[in-house]
Amino acid sequence: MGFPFEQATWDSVVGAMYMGAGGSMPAIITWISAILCLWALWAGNRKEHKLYSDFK
Amino acid sequence: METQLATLASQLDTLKAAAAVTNTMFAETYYYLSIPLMILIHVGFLAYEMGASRTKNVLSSGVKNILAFAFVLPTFWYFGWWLYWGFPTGWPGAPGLNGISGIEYANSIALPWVEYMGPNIADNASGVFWGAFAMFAATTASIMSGAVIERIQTVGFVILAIVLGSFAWVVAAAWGWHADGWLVQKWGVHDFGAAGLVHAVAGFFALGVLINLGPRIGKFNSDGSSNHIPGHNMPLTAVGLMLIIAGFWGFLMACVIVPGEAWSWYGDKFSTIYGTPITLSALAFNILMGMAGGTIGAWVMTRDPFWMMSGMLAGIISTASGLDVYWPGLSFVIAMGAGLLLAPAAGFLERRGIDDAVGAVTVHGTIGIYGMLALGIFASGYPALQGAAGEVPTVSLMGQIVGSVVFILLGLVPGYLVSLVLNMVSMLRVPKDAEEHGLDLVKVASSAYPEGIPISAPPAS
Repeated sequence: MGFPFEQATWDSVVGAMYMGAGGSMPAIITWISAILCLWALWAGNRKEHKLYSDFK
Repeated sequence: METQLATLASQLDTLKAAAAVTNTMFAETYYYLSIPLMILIHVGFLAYEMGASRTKNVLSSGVKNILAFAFVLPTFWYFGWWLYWGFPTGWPGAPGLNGISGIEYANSIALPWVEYMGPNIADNASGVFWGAFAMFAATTASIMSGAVIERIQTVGFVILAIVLGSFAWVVAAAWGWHADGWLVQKWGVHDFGAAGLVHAVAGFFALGVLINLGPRIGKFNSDGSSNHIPGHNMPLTAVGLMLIIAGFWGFLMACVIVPGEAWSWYGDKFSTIYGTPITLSALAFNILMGMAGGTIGAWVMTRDPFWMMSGMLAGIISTASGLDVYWPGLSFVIAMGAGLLLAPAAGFLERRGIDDAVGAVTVHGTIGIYGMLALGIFASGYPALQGAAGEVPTVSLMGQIVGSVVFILLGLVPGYLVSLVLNMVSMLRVPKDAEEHGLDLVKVASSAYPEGIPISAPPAS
């Protein structure tokens, strides 16, 4: 990733300025983060059920 | 002479450019500052719900509330913002009359991987608008949070919060809080401060969940009579409600469109989201009078500090739809009516076996609809949008009724259906023995009061 413009100067930045701007990286990272949210829900639910079982 | 004129023209251009920059920086700062104010709402909800819980459930109530905030923010970024811009005209997302809606428009500005959804030096608006709306989303989800304390499963609750915060209210906002929204264009629905599309949607969503969730153990007796289950810390609850009200100012501030930008409705006036004019002075008059009226009405009816603080909140909600146009004395009267209505409305629900631990269905659902209808009665005939007389819809009681019915359904139906499915897969309610012994003991790694405050006694069997 890194600075998304050819020249390493802020003068070249006129719009989007995040890493991966103009490429497919933002979309990839978006999907990864969404999958992480789903995983967190699944893992959290599993842990909660385990806590109930241990409590019993 | 010509040289002087050229110099003056150049200086004027420089001044105009500087003024434009100042306006842009002001607009961005205005919405940016509304965000931490709205986070105060969540500080308030956290205190309010933890105070309303018994000591055995304090921390799990807090965890649940914090997680709603944490999961609604990314999901609103993934798809909530896109929904708002994509569907004001309904399915299948055709563009609206003002050219700022429809699937193609939403795809260009609100898909989470487009350039306007991240740092962009040429864009001083998208992030702060998104941030303000994301806080509206998180607030909507938090409204449901208090009603379901002490017996709901954490992940089941988070799923419900996502459905409410990143879907249900967003559809309501697209339809009734957008200049292209079909409720606005066809019915003249006007809801400046989101009494219907946030509060009523959230309140009725909570009702749908409560129907499937069931009451807390010990709430109702076999003869149908109810028992009051007091929270362990009323002062914390009261302070929490006051913090919600402080944060509400940020919410209402963010409902206003700043002038002078390319996306503004006016060059020289604030406007509502519908493009109708408004001043912050109008908000100051009406919010404060609403707060006062609601508090006083609830005090007369109950003399209970919990209901008085809820009355203060209900006072704002009941006047929210018309904060831009009400005379302050009228705001006081409407709000006082809301304060008087609170306890009887809550009692009505309780007599039907609904255990709403904090009165969320009443304060937000019932009073949200009351506020929508009050506008239809008192502001009938006001133009709902910018435009020439006869060419724009006007506010009407019928329009507000239609809007209210739509908002109720947008809350109640998904709340009921999603919680029904969660119940069927055992993800809605905690096991009975976990509820009896306390959710903190079962679910949370730490203790709220490791010394000094006794754990609540188990219910009599």
